[in-house]
Amino acid sequence: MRRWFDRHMKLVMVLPALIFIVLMIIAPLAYNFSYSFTDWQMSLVKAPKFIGLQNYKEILHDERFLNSVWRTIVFSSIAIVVETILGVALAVLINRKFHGRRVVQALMLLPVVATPVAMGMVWKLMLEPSIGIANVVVEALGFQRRAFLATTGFESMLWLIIIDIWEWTPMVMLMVYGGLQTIPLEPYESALIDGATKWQTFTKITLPLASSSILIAVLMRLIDVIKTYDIIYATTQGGPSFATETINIYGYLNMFAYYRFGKAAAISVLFFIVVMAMGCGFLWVKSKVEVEY
Amino acid sequence: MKKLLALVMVACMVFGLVACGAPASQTTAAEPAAPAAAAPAAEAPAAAPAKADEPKPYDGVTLRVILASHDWTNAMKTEIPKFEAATGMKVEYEVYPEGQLSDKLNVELGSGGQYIDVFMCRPLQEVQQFIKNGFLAPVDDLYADAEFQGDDIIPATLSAYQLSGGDGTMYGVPLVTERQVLMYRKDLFEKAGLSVPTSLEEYEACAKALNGIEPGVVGVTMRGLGNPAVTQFTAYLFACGGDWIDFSGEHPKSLVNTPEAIKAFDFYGRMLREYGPADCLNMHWAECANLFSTGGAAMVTDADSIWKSFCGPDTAVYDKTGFALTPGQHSFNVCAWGLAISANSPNLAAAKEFVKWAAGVEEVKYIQTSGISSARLSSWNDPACTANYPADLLESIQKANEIATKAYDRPLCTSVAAARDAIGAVITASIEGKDVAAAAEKADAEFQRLLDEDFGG
Repeated sequence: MRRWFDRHMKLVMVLPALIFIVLMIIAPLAYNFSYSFTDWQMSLVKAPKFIGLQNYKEILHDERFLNSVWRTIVFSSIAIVVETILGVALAVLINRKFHGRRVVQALMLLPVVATPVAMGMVWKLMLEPSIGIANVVVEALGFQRRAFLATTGFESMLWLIIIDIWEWTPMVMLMVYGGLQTIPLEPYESALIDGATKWQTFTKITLPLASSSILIAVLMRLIDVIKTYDIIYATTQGGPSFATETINIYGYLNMFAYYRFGKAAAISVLFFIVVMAMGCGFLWVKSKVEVEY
Repeated sequence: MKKLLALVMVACMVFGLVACGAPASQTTAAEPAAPAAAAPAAEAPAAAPAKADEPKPYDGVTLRVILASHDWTNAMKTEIPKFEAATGMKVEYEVYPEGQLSDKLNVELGSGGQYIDVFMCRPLQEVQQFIKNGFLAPVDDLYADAEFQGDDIIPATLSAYQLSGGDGTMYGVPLVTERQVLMYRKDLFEKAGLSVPTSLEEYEACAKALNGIEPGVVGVTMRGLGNPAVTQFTAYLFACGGDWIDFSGEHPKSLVNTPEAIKAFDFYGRMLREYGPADCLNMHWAECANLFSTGGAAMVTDADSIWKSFCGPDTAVYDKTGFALTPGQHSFNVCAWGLAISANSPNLAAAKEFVKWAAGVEEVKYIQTSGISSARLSSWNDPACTANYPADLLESIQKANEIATKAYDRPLCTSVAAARDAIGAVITASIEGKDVAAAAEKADAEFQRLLDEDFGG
């Protein structure tokens, strides 16, 4: 027995993780996938009935779903672009030696360690148009009071994006900072001798050499930002009038508020495909632009 | 040894995942950290083990009760230990805000419901669905019990716990009733020289005159968040002569885009847009209550059962607030909350005993005395029980009880949540000053689709 263990050590060590993945990820996925082809609604007391691609057909003609896809794309792309630019800038900043750097680093990480739901509630209170502090500031600056999250236009979405940027930019910063630390000094010395400007050094040396960690940070944020649920649920719950409803929120409502299990399953399958496709596409881009050194 | 280690690792990972998976707010919401499963307990009182002192009928029985975070629950927290002492039962209760309560009940009851004994729910929101799914234990025997005095419960509220179009079997007991009332600032009305509005026109004129009468005071506040606003909007829908569903034909028909409904949507949206708070689109009742209780609004209409949050003794406007019937003089009288028993509860007899006690004449009198609108006539007729109510509130409630012809404040269908979302979109459009007719048309199509699904159109 002991020898068997010794011989199959690799398998034994991987097995727990494998069992875990099968039980907790693959099995629910397969289960979900199978139910996406059924008409199953708790409100109607009917056993799941196989209806083929009907759910998918319905969803792809559902204006609310299509709008939620569009909102998810807008939310994710703006958040990702801004978070990456700010994150890299901040990483470069804290990579320099200056007085109190450690304190600045620690302070910047605070949003990341806070619970997103709690932060959502705090932002909701700050942006509350009647009693929130945001309007006090807006008025002090001489502008008209705003409704912030209580608008059905783009403004409520914009504020959610700002909350996401505030919360997750430090995470990008941290990962890029880690990458910057690994860049050797030699290329910089050569650049100095060659008479490169600061901008040239940044674009030709720092960025390419840190590209690997930047791209990893972007990939992780990409997967995360598409799935954003907590801050939206804590602040607007997808409202007012669906103005901030992303695919995630719409899927959640279909499952837990409308009890349309079949439709919710189909939404999550489509969502899964979207996330996978974006992830794979991104990995392809990464392989093209990454620099080895 | 390694095998054991692997097992422990798997267990740790699974536990970690489960712990992470629970919604944060839900875990914090459960007040006493009650264990998930009720102890397997003796069903009949006879099985109680004998103790040194006098044996109690339900010794050793543990009851799992799911409650809503509501004034009723707060008032009962001090009473439950007395019940435990009298019966020997152990009552483990958990408290959730209403949205999470719905999720919790649906998930637990949907997966068998054998770990829940008694639960609080909003009958108009989910009981039709629960009955159709066989989640609820019939409680006709409770109503037949002379001690329980079932005929003392306000008759209009009973329909909330019957299957619509069914045989009249009762599936629960109403606890809290509510009607819509107007709460207004007497001092501001006096300052503006206005009298209390009775019609919608007068209501609008008052809102206009009172808007900005003092710095930071809006004319009126009402729920503006689409889905929750539907119940409060219903009073105005009735006042404009509208209704939600036409049940007269062969198939139920949506009435969401009738001229009456559009008139009501227009009115409700205009009131909030012109004379309401800036953020009304995100306002549920709690936000309205915050605003009114801190003196930020001159008028509000909402459920009378939560009047204390708006203008109770703890608020800044307690002695400045007057009450009247909702303008338009059309009210409903609904059962807002009640108790039901899970069909698969392992402790049916004990669960019924709990319901019989909690919704019994004595406890209800105590509840009513603490200011919660009960569902028992005996409490409403007992001056001692209503002494805590402001006189004009009591008068408006009794008037509303007289004129209320309808026992619902939302569409009576199975897919209530989806219907409320669809209809809520019209309310939002109206508040924003968008094309109400177009929004109503769209909501009508969606609502009709839901009705066809629910009733088989």
